[in-house]
Amino acid sequence: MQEKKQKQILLIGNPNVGKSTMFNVLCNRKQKTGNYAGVTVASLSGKYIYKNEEVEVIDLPGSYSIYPTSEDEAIFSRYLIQEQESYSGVVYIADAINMRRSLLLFQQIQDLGIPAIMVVNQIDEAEKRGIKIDISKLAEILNIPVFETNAKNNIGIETVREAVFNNDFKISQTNSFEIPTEQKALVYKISSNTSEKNLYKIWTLLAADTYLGKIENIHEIITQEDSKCSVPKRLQIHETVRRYQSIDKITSQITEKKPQLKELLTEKLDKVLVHKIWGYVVFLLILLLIFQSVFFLAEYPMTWIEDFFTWLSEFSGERLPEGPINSLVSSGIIPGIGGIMVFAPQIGILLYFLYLLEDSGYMARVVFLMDRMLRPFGLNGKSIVPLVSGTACAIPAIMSTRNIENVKERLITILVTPFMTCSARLPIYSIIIGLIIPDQSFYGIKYRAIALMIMYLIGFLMALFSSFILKSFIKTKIKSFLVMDLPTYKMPLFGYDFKLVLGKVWEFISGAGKVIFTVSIILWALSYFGPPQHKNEILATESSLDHSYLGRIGRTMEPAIAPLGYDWKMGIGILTSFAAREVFVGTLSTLYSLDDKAPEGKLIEKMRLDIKPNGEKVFSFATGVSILLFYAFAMQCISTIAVVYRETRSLKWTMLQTVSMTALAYFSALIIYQILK
Amino acid sequence: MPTKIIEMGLLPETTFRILYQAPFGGPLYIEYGSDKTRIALREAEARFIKVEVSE
Repeated sequence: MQEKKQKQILLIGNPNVGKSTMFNVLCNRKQKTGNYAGVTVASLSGKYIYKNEEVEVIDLPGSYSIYPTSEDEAIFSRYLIQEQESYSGVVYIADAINMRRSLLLFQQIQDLGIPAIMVVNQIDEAEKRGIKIDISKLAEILNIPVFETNAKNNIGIETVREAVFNNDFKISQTNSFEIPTEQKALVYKISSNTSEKNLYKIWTLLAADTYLGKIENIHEIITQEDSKCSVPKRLQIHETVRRYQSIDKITSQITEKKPQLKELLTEKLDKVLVHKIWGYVVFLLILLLIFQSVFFLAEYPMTWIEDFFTWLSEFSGERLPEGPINSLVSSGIIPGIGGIMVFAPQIGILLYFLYLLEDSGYMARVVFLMDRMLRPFGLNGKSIVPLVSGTACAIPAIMSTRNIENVKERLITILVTPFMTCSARLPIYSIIIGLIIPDQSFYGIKYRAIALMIMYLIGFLMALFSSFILKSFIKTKIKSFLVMDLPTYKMPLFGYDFKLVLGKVWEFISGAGKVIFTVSIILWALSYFGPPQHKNEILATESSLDHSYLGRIGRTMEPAIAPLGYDWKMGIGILTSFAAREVFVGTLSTLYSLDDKAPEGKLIEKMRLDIKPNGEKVFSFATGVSILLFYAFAMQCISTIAVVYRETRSLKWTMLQTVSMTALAYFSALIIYQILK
Repeated sequence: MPTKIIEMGLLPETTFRILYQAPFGGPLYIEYGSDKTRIALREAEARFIKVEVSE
């Protein structure tokens, strides 16, 4: 058999040009794409096989130029310049609606001597706006192969694959940017003293105010006098203005415009969606709609799943031979997994809505609307995206802070995002609210839905409050700014997003499932076995669970949690859910199944009927509120801690966040319980 | 001034229109160029731009 050849290519382009969609289609991969600048928060890699060649595709974050202003752009520039040896070429995605802006970054890449081909995307959108682009003319002017695609409909993808296979990447022989006379001498001096022969590359090192690439001894070559004549920012502006002058000449040759008579969708929609009043009303209504759906659309599938697992647990309890294995499977693993599976519909619905919003281009409008409101809290309008997506999961939310240019605003956003009510809190909130709030409604609005809304609000307000506090602690000299593209609206890909949601929900279930599976086995072992006892010590009212090792552990920690209104079962739940919040419900589910004194039926019924030795309800109103507050504020998520550390690269901030969130959770739960009991 | 404004293609001698502004001195929503590019920027950044009223 012939051996497979391997090759690496880069996908590059401005934000929001359909790069991620292209990546997905090329690699057949489910990576979320969106119509909001900065969805590709990390460089992703995927693979496809064409003919006998395996191609690794690296999807870099979008950027407008090679001079980075934010973390995600820095990731892009560093990879492009420093890893030049590892890739064979660049597939540059240009936006037909915005050729001018697309050509800026493209010219820079060409001048760096990087081999490239160009793909013009969204041609159909451009034609709707009356813009016609002459592709063959463009290829002639740029002197590289140019292809036309529509990544969303899979058109033209094979030709791109073929071009990559044939190594059609081309290095430009001419420079489109002339190095200005003032800096020429210095650039030549560096070139003659080092091995770097690409003059433009040397220029970029002078013009970039952050580290882009390396030339040996460059600091010895540049004298103080030299650096006077090269203020990075000024050089960048000079370059950009010059480039746009030459680009305007190109675009006038390749584009043909028909007068645009009918008002386009984007223009029409924005009259309402960014309106001073209606804009906010619509945003609130959308949020309300999402939360209503999370509760009510999910109700039916949730009942089915719950019934199924109750049945499965009983079925395996009857069919499996009596003994430890029976109790492990039917009381440990099945209820544990079922306890988390039941929340899949809610999480799925929430994610689906968020994906549709991002896809459509609406998120950028939310940034526009919210910037002024968030500024007093030390946040940026762009912080709203992590905050809103934090209602699904803090991990992608924290990664999406990378397009916030200002370091301080980014750090604050990272630190407060975990306060947002993520989907892992939903299982806990649902079950506790179900226990302590009656199933009644007030003019059609359910009390339980109101309670859930309040929990989301508490999370959001705590996020704002802590940003306000953090604002005065974190110092920065860099000024905050907001310059953001407002993309045209696009019809979201309903089917495509649905597939992505299924993937994400499965990830959640299998991820949480693994943890819960392990936790269930450990819990089962600890509860099945116990220290030897003296016969007369067992009281008639106590079950064997109370006497197991697990019971002992729970009892030991009781003094610490009793003032919060928790019994030892909840204590074990909090302990096991330190790794991930959702484990709390799974743990309780397992614990109640193991408890031979607990009644049969659904978890919530068992919890409702559980009473203390003195006859009081275990899950009283005060205890319930205390649990809700605890989980609203506590960090309780190892993965989030890890991602915060990775993004901040600071042990100090990561520790500070975890410790203060836990302390806040503990004390607010303590105070509320003492007040309410 | 953030270089980003220029990178976005809002260059000297570009005609632009302010379409909307978010309340309480929020960001401006502007449209410019033949591509009808739309961007948002704050008042603070907009102050760096020298304008001449056309029409």
